[in-house]
Amino acid sequence: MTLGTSPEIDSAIHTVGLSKAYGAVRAVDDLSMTVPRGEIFGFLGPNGAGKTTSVKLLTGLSNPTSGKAWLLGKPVGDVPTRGRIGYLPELFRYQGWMSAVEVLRLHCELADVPMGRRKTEIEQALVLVGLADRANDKVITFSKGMQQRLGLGVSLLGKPDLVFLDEPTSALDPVGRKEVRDIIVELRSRGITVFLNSHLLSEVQQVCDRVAVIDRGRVVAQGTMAELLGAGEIRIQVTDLDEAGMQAIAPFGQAFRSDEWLTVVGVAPERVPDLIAELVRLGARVHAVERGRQTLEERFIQLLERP
Amino acid sequence: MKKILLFAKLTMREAVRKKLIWVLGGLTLLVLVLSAIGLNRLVETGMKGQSESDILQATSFILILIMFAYSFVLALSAVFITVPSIAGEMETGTALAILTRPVSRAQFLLGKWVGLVVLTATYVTVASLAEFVVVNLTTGYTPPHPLMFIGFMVAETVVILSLALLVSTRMAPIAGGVIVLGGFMLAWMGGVAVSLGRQFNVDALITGGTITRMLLPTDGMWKGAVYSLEPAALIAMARAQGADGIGNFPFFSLSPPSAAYVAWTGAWIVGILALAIRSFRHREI
Ligand SMILES: Nc1ncnc2c1ncn2[C@@H]1O[C@H](COP(=O)(O)OP(=O)(O)O)[C@@H](O)[C@H]1O
Ligand SMILES: [Mg+2]
Repeated sequence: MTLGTSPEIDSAIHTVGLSKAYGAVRAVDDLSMTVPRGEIFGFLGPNGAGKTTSVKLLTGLSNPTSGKAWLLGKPVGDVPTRGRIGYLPELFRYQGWMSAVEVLRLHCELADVPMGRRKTEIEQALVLVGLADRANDKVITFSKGMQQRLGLGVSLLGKPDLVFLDEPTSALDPVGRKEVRDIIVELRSRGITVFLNSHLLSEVQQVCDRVAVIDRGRVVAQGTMAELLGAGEIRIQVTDLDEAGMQAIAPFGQAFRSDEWLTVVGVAPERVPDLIAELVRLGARVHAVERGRQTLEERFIQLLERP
Repeated sequence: MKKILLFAKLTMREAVRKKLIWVLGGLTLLVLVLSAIGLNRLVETGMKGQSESDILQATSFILILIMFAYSFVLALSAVFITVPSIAGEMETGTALAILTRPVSRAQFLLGKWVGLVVLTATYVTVASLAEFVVVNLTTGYTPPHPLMFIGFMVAETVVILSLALLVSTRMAPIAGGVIVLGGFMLAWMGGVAVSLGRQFNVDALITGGTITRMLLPTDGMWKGAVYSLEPAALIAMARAQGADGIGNFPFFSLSPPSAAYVAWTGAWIVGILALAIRSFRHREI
């Protein structure tokens, strides 16, 4: 491997066979993925899928049972690299006896933010997460949502290159969620890679460039949002199509019929005209064709369907 | 090193902010005032007219009793400050955001330890000196080795605090606290067992007690503290009454701990810290 071409070095995150077992529970099972730099990566899965465990493995809070991982080109656990990483835990708690400013100041020191930059960084963080007017209040007086905002501010100190956000809007109201989505998009524009853990499909669909869907510790699908949703479905209103015709179109995708409507799942977009031509060739009469708008939610449910 | 100091300062600030220090300080002030009143009464009325050496003996013994109670409070406070400061931060999640920063777990743990040791040493020094001053003003008595007393008292607290730190890397706050205090009581009983064993020539008691003294050198350090408070006359009298060895009481010791035992205690603290760091490194958070 030459320098500058290996995924370990180039990507923001690269994992190979990362696994974590808690006794009999395989919380993370053979996770192999690559997160390119500068993208928003959605890590999507139902409760208990292994999202938080994956983030803890990546941040070095927990040790893998097997497998390897690299962050920003360095193996997980490399201490200087941690200075370039931000983290908002799912369980966000900050020193209740400190004020918001003091918590931020502490994390500036911890993250080795140069003395001269601390004041501006803290002010910017407070404004960004909307806590400027509560800066000097004790954290213990904060609502859950405010603490989560503070946590987001903390994770952005020191101009990190990679930020892990574990369910960053779990305690926020709809307005707060929108604000956080905007912040995430803004981070990407600054070239920051965002690893977003979420079970909120709309959130992920709105901001992520790339998604991995995890279920029971295993990645069941990953790719760009277009790739994931691209395996779309086509609905065709058709008459005069017999059983043999149904058989003949099987290579295009899974076909279902309900009265006059034929649904074909998994048709690549560029093959849709071919499918229609084939139907016509078979002697069927096509009345209407529409693209099934598969949402991430439908795709998600489909992926998690248990046989 | 910078990060260790950062955590040390943080720990100290937390103790001050959370008013733990003030509670302890208030309690100490109360003891100081009560002992001033009590000793004054003793000298002015209770023992008026008795010989100077009798008064000196009584005073030194009362001082030892006060300090004995005080050493218990100190141990309790050390445990209740130390255990939550690690185990609690893990449980609540405060540690999550901290330990993903460019700091090692050893720095985090050592920083806490340094902060707690500085707090302990400051507090023990101030409170002990204040009590000595009170005793001196009321009775004219000064214990023979006040600085040695402070040293042993700090050492005893550092021993218990280090154990609490080790335990808290693995256990939940309450369970951890109970275990360390249980150990502290056992070590104290071990000291009593050795005394009894010596007195009545029961080897099993001496062996058992000696083992606990090695496993947890809190009582051993207390014996050094007690010895530092005993006037020579009191020791001579005890000798004349036939006591021997390390003493026949939790409130008395005929000799200070040996240099070897003090060295063992130092090594013990270092060893426990090393174990704590090891344990904490492997801890899943
Ligand atoms: N410390 C732990 N001890 C035992 N099991 C755990 C622990 N942490 C997580 N798990 C288990 O691992 C699985 C994944 O959990 P988690 O990563 O928290 O899921 P998610 O964040 O996707 O909701 C769950 O079955 C959970 O019960
Ligand atoms: Mg989770």
